[in-house]
Amino acid sequence: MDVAVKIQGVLDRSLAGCKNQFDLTLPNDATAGDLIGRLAEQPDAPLRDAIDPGQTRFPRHIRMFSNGEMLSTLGQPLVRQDGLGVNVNIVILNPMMGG
Amino acid sequence: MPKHEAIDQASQNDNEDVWIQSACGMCYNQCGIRGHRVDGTLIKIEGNPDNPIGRGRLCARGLAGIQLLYDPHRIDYPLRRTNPEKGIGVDPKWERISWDDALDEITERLATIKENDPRGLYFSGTVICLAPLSHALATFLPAFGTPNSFVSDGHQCGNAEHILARTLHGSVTTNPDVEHCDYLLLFGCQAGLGTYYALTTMAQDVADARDRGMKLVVVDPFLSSAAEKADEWVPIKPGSDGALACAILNLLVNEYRIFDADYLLEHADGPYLLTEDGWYARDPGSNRPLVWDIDAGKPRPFDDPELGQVALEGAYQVEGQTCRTVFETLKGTVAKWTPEAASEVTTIPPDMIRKIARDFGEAACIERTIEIDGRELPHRPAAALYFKGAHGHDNAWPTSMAIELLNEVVGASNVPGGLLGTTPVCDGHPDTGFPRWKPGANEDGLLDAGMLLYNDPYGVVPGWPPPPTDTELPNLRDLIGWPITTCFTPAALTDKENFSFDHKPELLLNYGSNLLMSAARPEVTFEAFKDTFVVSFNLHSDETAEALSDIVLPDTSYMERLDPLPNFTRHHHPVGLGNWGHTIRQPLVEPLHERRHFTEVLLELGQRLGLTETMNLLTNNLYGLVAPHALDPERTYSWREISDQAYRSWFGDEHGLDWFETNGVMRWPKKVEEVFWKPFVHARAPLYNEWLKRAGEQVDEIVEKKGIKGVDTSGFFPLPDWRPCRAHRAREGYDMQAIYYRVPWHTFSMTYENPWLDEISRGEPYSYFICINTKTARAKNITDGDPIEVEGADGGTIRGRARLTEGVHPEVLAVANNGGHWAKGMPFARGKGVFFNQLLPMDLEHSDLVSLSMDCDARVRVTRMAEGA
Repeated sequence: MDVAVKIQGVLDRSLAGCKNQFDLTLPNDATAGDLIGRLAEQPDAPLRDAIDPGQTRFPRHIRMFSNGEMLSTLGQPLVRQDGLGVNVNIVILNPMMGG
Repeated sequence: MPKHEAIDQASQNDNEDVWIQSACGMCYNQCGIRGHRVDGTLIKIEGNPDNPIGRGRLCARGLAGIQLLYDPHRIDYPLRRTNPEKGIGVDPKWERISWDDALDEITERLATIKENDPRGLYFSGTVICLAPLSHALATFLPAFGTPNSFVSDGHQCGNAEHILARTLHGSVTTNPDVEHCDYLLLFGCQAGLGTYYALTTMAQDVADARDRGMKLVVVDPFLSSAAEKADEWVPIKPGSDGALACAILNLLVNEYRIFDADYLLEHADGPYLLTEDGWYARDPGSNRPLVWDIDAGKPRPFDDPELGQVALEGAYQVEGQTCRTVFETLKGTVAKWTPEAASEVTTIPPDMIRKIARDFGEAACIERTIEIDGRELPHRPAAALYFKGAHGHDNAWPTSMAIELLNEVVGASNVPGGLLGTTPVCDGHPDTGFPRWKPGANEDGLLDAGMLLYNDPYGVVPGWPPPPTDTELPNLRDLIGWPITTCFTPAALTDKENFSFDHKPELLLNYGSNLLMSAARPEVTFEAFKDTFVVSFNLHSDETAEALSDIVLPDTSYMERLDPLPNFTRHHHPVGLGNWGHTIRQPLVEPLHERRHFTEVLLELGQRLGLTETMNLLTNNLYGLVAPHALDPERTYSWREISDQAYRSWFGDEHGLDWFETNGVMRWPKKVEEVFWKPFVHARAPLYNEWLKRAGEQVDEIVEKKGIKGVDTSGFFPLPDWRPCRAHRAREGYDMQAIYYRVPWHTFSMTYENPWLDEISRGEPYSYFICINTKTARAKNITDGDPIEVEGADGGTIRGRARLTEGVHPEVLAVANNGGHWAKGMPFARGKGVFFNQLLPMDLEHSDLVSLSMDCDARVRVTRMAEGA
């Protein structure tokens, strides 16, 4: 399926000039964790943290929304029931409100 | 439009006579109110008996709120500064502009900042208006892309207390369960007696408890509203509460041997073994912390299903090291704090310290149980509570730990009679299951509170505390990310010796805060932002607006705006049994003149800047909105529509905004396992802060790499101890300590403009004066009413008139908080009271670096001045 990714929020300035939009193709049963892993492979992705092995939740300061619905675990699937493409928004929070 | 015409226009509604339910906003407690509006004019505010928050009672501020609505000195229209000169006390020479002109200019500047570097947007806000503040912090600012926010009254906030409320209680703050308490020990706090959280509800509960016979002991340098009602007032030298608490701990655990062993074994990390260099001893395979299995004669992971009897005390050999239990280490750490040692620094007689320890320990009734709603629970009817007076010093962290552990060692934590986290567990409305939150346990079995400032329908989000990573942010959130509120930003921006940043504040958006008065010495804040374009949302043209602001926008008061769920964050709910209460703040009158709600303006700015999509997503996150009520990122919503979706998502489609506008509050009964949750949630309280030890090493590594000399992590204690704050230390020629105290009828600096509250101050003998002990004054040839000058050893001078009293420690001067206004735009407040914060430096040296709490007292000397000087 086609996944259009937009990354917004408090972006890592050490990657100034980085991309914040990506158009990817992922398997239909791809999960949030799969997407994060694919993004981490991109040389110019502005995500600050890699996901630790065995981690099931997002880092505290990152939120992922798939077609507007918030995802809470990395194991959640991205796909829509109708099989159409997915719009994913990743928002990096203000560290003061990260929890 | 002249003010009287605006009111006349509002009075066009002939024959109107309505009562409207809403929530007060004169402090952050959000008590339930009813406003009586007749023919379009608000004529009275009183408490709402249907609302569990306040139960129909209001403090003086709540009753006086009506004065704020019709205050002729309110800012009613957008204003622009025409005087290019900025400065403290400088006349801005305001000119009136239109909202369109104001927002056009602000949008243009913000768009440029966003294009170049969004970090150029700085934000400061006040906690009094927590709902709009949260909305800004959680939606607009991250959508814009800036991390640079701070709470300007942060140094008057909980700081260290909030950290421990999280780690020990799963919440933002705490309050005692006075319904079942027999002995309440307050350190620098006036819970239920003058100030603090859930005041009006607590006031009723404390009064009932006192009537029942609960003993009240108040430790405070000043005879505060709490101390004057106490069974015992224990005067103390400011900043030494931690030494007193350490001594009480020592007596309890070492001499009197009064402690709740079962609690410490099962519900805390008391039995966890510590290596010789102070880390949890861990199982090599699972990495779980180890405990000593007495039956097996060897260490085992704390959650080993085959554990036998576990050791709470003692030292054991593990892998060639002598490992003591956490509890044994605590006993050793506090052993040096004999009553005599504590008396040296506190000036409290040793026998009094022994008495307090014995009374507290015996009142805790270890092993007692109580049946509530058919559940048998531990009953520990003793609680120790503290707030700003105790921890408002640069030794905030160890002080707070010491006092908190008084409750922990006797098991009086989140059980009947003891200290309760402010609603750490909510199972949600019976029909919908929202809002809901509950702490859990991390991999070490220790309490993890989850996301404190959000509805958390997805369970505990792990990963607290955030590890130190860098020093790129002036609010230090990337270096010391665990305090909730801090106003360190101005200090970091002006400390060129220790900090340098690759960006600067281009625009400061200041919501409702008078940061020149609230954030310590005003010159520091002025210096930080004097070259910044400042936009203020204000009720009045206050000191900050006049000195710094380029544009001032007229904010609505709480009586003129809609905030759904103004008390949605946990700490606005009273503790203890009773009802949950989720309320509405709705306009009692339509906004007068051209006043606009800050949140609505943020929504418009978001639309102008193309941020709506992200703000919608983050609004879903903030309120935990789920389908079908989650906001569509592709749509634009009005604030009414968002509010409606929030209510429907939490309480069902039949309980939307219109239901709340009519009914005012959603109530349902609390459950025993929500209120006294400790026996039902298996997550241990960390007496030992191993996380902080690790964080301290990480901070050291970062600051060494960056060459920052002023960040000293020697105060990152994992266990309580005491060392003097700067103001406590003797300095030649400066023989006294000056403190500020809170009066129950004022909130920070805002309320001094209120004539009814001023009337209270004028009728009360102390709050516009500098209080000095009678004997001390006589020795200095000072008589009552004399003009005096107080000079700080670390700079700053304040002047006022002396008020002689037995109600203050002989080595202390006491000043009521946040008086001494000088702004022309606050003529009622101007010149009344004393501006204490001039004495307070704002820098690393005067800060507790664990909590970013400042030393809020000062080492001073006092001299009598000639009249007219």
